[in-house]
Amino acid sequence: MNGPSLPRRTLLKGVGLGALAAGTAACGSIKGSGDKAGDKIVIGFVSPQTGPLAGFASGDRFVVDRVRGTAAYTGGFAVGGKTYDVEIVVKDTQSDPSRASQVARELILRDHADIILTSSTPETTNPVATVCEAQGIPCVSTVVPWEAWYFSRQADPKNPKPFTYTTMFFFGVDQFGGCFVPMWERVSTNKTVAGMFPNDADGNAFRDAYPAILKKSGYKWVDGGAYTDGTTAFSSMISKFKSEECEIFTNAPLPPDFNTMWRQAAQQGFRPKLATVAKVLLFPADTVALGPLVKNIATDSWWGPYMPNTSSLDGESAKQLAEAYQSASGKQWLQTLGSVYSLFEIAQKAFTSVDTPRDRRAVATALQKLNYSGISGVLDFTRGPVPGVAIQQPVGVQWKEGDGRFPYEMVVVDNSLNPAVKIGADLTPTNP
Amino acid sequence: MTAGTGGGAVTAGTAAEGRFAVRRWSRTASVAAAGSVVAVAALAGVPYYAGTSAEQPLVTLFCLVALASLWNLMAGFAGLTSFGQQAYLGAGAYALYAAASMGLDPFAAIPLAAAAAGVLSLPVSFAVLRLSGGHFAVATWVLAEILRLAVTLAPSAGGNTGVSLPGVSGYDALLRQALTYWWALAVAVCSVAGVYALARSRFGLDARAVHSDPVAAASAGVAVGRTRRWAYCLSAFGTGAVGAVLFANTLYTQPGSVFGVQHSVAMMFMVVIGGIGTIEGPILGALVFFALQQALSGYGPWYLVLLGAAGIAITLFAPRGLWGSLAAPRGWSLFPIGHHISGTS
Amino acid sequence: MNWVGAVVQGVLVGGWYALAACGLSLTFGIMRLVNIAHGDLAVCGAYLTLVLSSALGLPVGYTLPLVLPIAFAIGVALHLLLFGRALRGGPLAPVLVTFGLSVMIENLLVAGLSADPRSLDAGRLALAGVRVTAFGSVITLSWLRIAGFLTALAVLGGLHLLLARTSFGRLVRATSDDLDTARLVGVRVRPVFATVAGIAVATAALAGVFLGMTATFDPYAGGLSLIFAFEAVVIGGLGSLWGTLLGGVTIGLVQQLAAQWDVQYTVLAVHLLFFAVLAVRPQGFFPASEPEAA
Repeated sequence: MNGPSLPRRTLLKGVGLGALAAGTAACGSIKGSGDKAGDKIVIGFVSPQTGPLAGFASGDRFVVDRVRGTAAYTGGFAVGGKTYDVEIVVKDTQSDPSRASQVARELILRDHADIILTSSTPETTNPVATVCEAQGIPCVSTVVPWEAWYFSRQADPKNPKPFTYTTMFFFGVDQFGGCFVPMWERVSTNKTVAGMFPNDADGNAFRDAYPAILKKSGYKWVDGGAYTDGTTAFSSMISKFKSEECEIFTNAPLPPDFNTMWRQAAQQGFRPKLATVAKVLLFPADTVALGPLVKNIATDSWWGPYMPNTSSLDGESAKQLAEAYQSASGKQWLQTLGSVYSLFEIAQKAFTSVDTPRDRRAVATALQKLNYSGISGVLDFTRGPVPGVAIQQPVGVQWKEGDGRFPYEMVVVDNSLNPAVKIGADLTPTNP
Repeated sequence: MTAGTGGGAVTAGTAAEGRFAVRRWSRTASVAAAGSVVAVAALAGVPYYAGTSAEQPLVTLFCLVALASLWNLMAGFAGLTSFGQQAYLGAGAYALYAAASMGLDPFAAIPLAAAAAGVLSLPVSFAVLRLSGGHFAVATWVLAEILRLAVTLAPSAGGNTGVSLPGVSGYDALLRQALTYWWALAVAVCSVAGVYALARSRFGLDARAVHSDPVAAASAGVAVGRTRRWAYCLSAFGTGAVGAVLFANTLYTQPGSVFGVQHSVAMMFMVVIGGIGTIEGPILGALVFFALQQALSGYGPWYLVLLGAAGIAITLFAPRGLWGSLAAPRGWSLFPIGHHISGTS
Repeated sequence: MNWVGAVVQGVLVGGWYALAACGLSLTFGIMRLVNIAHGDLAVCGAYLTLVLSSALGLPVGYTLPLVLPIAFAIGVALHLLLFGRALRGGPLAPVLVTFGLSVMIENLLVAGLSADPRSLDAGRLALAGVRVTAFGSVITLSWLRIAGFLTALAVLGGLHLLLARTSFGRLVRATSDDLDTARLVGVRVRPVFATVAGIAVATAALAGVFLGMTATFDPYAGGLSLIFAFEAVVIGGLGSLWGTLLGGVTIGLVQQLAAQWDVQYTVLAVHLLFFAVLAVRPQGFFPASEPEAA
């Protein structure tokens, strides 16, 4: 069938390419990929299931299968008095941003996705969200600090404009600060903080915002320098931390870089009293490479079996979801289980609140207005720091020796931001 | 031997054995040229009768054809195996970003982006063209790494996270995709036709002389350095255009990806598998590579293992590649470069 | 860090670069082969050690007597199967064949052992450091780096003696100087070149083991290793082993000194130095007038 014919006004914008545009006008209409008929809603899901970021996505297939099995999804979505079957199409970025952009376009053009859900790091979510915004397809992202997601996709970051089709939920530098500073307060130190932040979206977002947060709380900030991802020699950074006598350590690197750096720190005798890390040691797989060096390192946790939340799809609790994953895979639970699950809760909420799933604008508006409680707790898209962003409240956790099933486990040691979560153990200094 | 009726036959003396004519053009070549024109016209119409689902894979294919032809311009005609053409792919993409950030229409700025890559290649050529063989290959690779790091270290270029292409939000999605498609087609056609025209010119003769024996070529009066420099800079110019088109297509670019050596892997395999030093070979190689990519990408690393093995096997056992092995024994030549001698009586 | 510390660390790190580069220098100096897969072969050495030490339950150091002969055998086999043919196949063939080999190695490693970053557990040695006071400043040096530097010195010294003082070395030098004459006087070139390739791969594997103990590696780590090794060879001077050592140390020093200024420029500084050398002194600082003269 023929797609929509080209509006004259749009054509005029292409006048820079006189001949082409003239040809277009002469011949009439450019064909689209064609709307799909039928009673099916297609949900595209994009995450880095292989490659260096695979740790983030190791539970994604399980969650997608779990969601497919819920009554809300097997029975189809009731939209505007009609029931639509739901199909979930899963795509892997291979941890490559170009590939992420490519699979997003495939989802839109070949699979005719009605919404695209994406998870895990700016390298995944930003290309996908960029394509969705340009193509006018609703999109929800998660597991990406909101600053890295929002500002780095702006044409002019100093003069940001809200997005129409793309939304997200997670948290940002303020929440990291709100989570880490109370933990630092509980260890007696000289209040000097070593920061290991690379030159990428996450690292620079922290570098911009951390000094102010630290100063407000009376901490001194020592920046190790904007090193390049993949650096293998950290001796000069470590020496700087040692000569400044840093007793607290914090970071947001790529996981392999932290493994290298933390080993070299041990070699060079840099042993901060408390290490609070971000972006690494979020997942059990990361702890294996470091072995005993991981003990009592603290990090943030936005989801876990200790969260008192239940699924908005079928009432399953966070603990049940984590245990179902462990028994299905034999592996330890990980935080992205809850986040990816919530993406599908949000898709269901958005579609069931509009008249037709084909009205992209209406679905996007429904996403912007969403406020519900699910397995990630309350997600309110209306009151974010910027439009279309819902903020989660993480808790502070430490890696402690496990009860035998797994060598190390995450235990909640600080709930300043999210008092509904129960404390599991006392905070212990990383290097007493 | 090709017996053609086309123009360009020169009666070349009388030997004891009879009369000979030196010919370049042939009937096959006339048919091929006419067929190419029809094919390009048909492809140009794709946005009107086939739609976006056909445009997307073709954009990828056109970019591969252009990259293969341009890599062949260096490797096949001037004897330069570069593993660093991704430097110009990235230079084109980031030049387009810079132009679009300044408010230029991204589609109108594609030639500017290509020119930026070409200009960049000129000073670089003075350093890298002192080397040859494996040393040239690794030095060009280092250059790509330098550019990657430079972009990574520039916060205004988005650092390691990459950037979205500004200025496309004003375009209707269908028109934007059609314009990208036409640009990709134009770049592919210009690359193939440009390399063909060059190969038939004095430059092509010089380049092949340099390729087969630089010392002998120099002693016969060929300006070896200048020929290599032309090949290098023109190839960089075209590769920059491909980089800009790819960016306009994906809308997102990131240094680790656009400056990745996997692009050189692809270029090398397309040219080696198709047939190095011919016009048809890289096109055939691009088609084979594209088909393999579509069919086997689900097998992940095994597909690249297979490509590596095929590249080695063809280099060692069939160095003329698929096209060379098929065409040479049968005297086929769709886009003839060299001259043929044939008897006329 | 203080400048003295940076210099000392730079020299120690440079030892590793020299170790990674000496095989490349050797194959180029003797066979005129630039092996694009050299870095990947080093990474293979690290993976081989990882697999052997976990399969046999041995500490990393004890697997070396197994790893090095295996690596040597791989080098010999590669020469007999690929390199020898490639060297006879015209100027482009060696580059294309070794590049194809590099792609195959990387992806076979991904297929067999996944793309997850790994590291080798060097036990107590990995975490031990020694405090040294030099020029009034205290430096903490890692024993592992010191061991790496000493190993590089030993390997380069050993290779020098092998080439300069033994009958095998004479054969190699004769072949390298004039291939046709060597053939004419009855030198069997294939075994000589195969042995050289074996030695080159064994040194690469050794460099890979040290890489694995000091940092993490993944199947794609070979590319950057090759680039650094190649830069060491070119900066030092093509085909000269001692030049390669000095080239490696230069790279280590530049890295550490650039890091003193700003850690983000470490790798870029090395690449720029390499380009400067190409532009100003393409023969390197210590070119071999005669490869490995006695």
